[in-house]
Amino acid sequence: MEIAFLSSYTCDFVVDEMKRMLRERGSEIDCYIAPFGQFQQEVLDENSQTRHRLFKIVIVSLDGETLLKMGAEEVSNFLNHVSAAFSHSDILVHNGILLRHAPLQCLEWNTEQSSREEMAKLNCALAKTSRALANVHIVDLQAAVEQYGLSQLIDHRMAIIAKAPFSAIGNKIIARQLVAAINAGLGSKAKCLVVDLDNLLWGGTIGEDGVEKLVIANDGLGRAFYDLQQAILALSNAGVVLAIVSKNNEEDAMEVLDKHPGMLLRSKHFAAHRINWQDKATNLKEIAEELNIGLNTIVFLDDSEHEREYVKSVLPSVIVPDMPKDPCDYQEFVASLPFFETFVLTNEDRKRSEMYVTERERKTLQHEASSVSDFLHSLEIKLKLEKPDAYNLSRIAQLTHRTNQFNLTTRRYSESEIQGLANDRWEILALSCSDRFGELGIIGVAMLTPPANGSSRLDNLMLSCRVLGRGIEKAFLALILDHAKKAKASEMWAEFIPTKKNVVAAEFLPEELGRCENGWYVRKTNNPIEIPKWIKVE
Amino acid sequence: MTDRLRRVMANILNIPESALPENPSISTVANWDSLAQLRLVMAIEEEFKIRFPSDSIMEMTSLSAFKTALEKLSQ
Repeated sequence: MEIAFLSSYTCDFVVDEMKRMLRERGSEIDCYIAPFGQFQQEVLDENSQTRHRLFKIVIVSLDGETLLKMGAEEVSNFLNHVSAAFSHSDILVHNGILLRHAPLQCLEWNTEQSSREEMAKLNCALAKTSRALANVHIVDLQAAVEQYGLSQLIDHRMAIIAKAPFSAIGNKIIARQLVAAINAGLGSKAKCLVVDLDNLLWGGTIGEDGVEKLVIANDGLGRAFYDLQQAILALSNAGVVLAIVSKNNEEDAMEVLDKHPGMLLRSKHFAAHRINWQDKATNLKEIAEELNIGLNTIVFLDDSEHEREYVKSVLPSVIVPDMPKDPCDYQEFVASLPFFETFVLTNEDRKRSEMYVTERERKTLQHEASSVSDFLHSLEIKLKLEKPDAYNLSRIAQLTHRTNQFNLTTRRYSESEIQGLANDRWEILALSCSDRFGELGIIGVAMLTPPANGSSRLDNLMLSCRVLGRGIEKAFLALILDHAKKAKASEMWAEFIPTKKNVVAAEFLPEELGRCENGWYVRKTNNPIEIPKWIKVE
Repeated sequence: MTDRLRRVMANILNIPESALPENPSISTVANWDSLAQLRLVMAIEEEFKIRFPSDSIMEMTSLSAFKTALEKLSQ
């Protein structure tokens, strides 16, 4: 992965730490650092080194003093230039930090010359500019400074000798903020948070203390658990799916979840649960299967070190953070877990938890229906194709990054890349779906090249796994083929590139398309595919 | 102390410990430039939990110079 650094200070030591951290996570980065003091020229000069290369990520790292010297207007112009010059890259810019302690001391905020006030104003302007630019994202370095304290982050010797203002710890902390942001940009986030119950969601155990003695309320020590539930609820609202794995009697636990007056989280917030006396690794595996997600997208919280170690040893791909010992530290710990980072919230994110819950109702209906065909008809599935626009672009990019199973080629694209392809007359088709249980939102994306020599190439097709097995994949392919025909292609070519995870998609193309060699398939566009009868297309 | 210093130097200068000269210095090790000098200072400070005075930072350009400075700090 290629990363460019445009920086007002010597950032080599921050880069050292980033390389180390990303290497531990298995990715190698290749960093280009713009020459010292030339971050502006590198962007404005069309012949500069930076402009000649294609970077996945461009990091703009300017210290507070430099930002203040530039002023809000120049900073905004500069960011606009960066955004345009690197339109295919994700650009990360952190808010400005004044590296000296308040120089006016008590006078700060009391006079109009207050540099801290100026810095705050400039940071607001910086955020406003960034939000208006789709490929520019703010990294909240200020939050790290507040958490760790400036005096710990700064080394004045290094600032004076080498224009490298940060201490050894400072370099690590800044690198960590940037790495979290890079992961957020790549969409490599976990999907599901699985929690234990006793001594995690509430204090005490149902079995030993009884329901009445559980500690959970919004005051007293119960506040620690209430605050934790608030942090978990915030994750759920940001699109993280919640589930429960606990050793308890299901009936007792459900009673607390549904009826205890101190609880903030209720059973409706959880997409799945395994409350029984089975070992937790088996339960986690079942949850992954039920929700159709990979074990490596699950974060498991448990207060018991014994249970954590057991899950780690049996299911090494599940993410099992070591919880702090004191429940009062739970909230901050969970709120700062680095696995759920994201820059943009799509509509699908906001509704995801709810959608998994309705999925449970769908499954109940499936058990009740007398035949598969009855079930499918009773779902009243409606499909609609959408072209990329300002509202759905982030969701389209997200699907290319997050879909691993039903994904024909696993080619990933950023928002700006997708926009670029659409401008190059590619057909970018987003499939949205609803049924009698509600809106599923955009659940599939297909990318079709403009015809060349009479044939269009299906560059990629992906579908969210939740909707498989209802004929939607076949209907989607039929719609895509129809689009290729309307674009005056006489043939549509499609490719399947196997990965470790996309086995479910392996049999998809051969069912409808003719097999050629090397994983390629083809179908004439004048030979339409039939859309299953139980699906309506709007 | 020498062993710990050599280990840190090998790591920062990206050279196997066995390939380091007896008294590695800025003039005998090709990778040892001014950035490496600062990386060495930070890594040795972390390893020995000490803080070198600012006027020594660019002067300690050999293993023996680091050793002398460390001994002076521990007195």
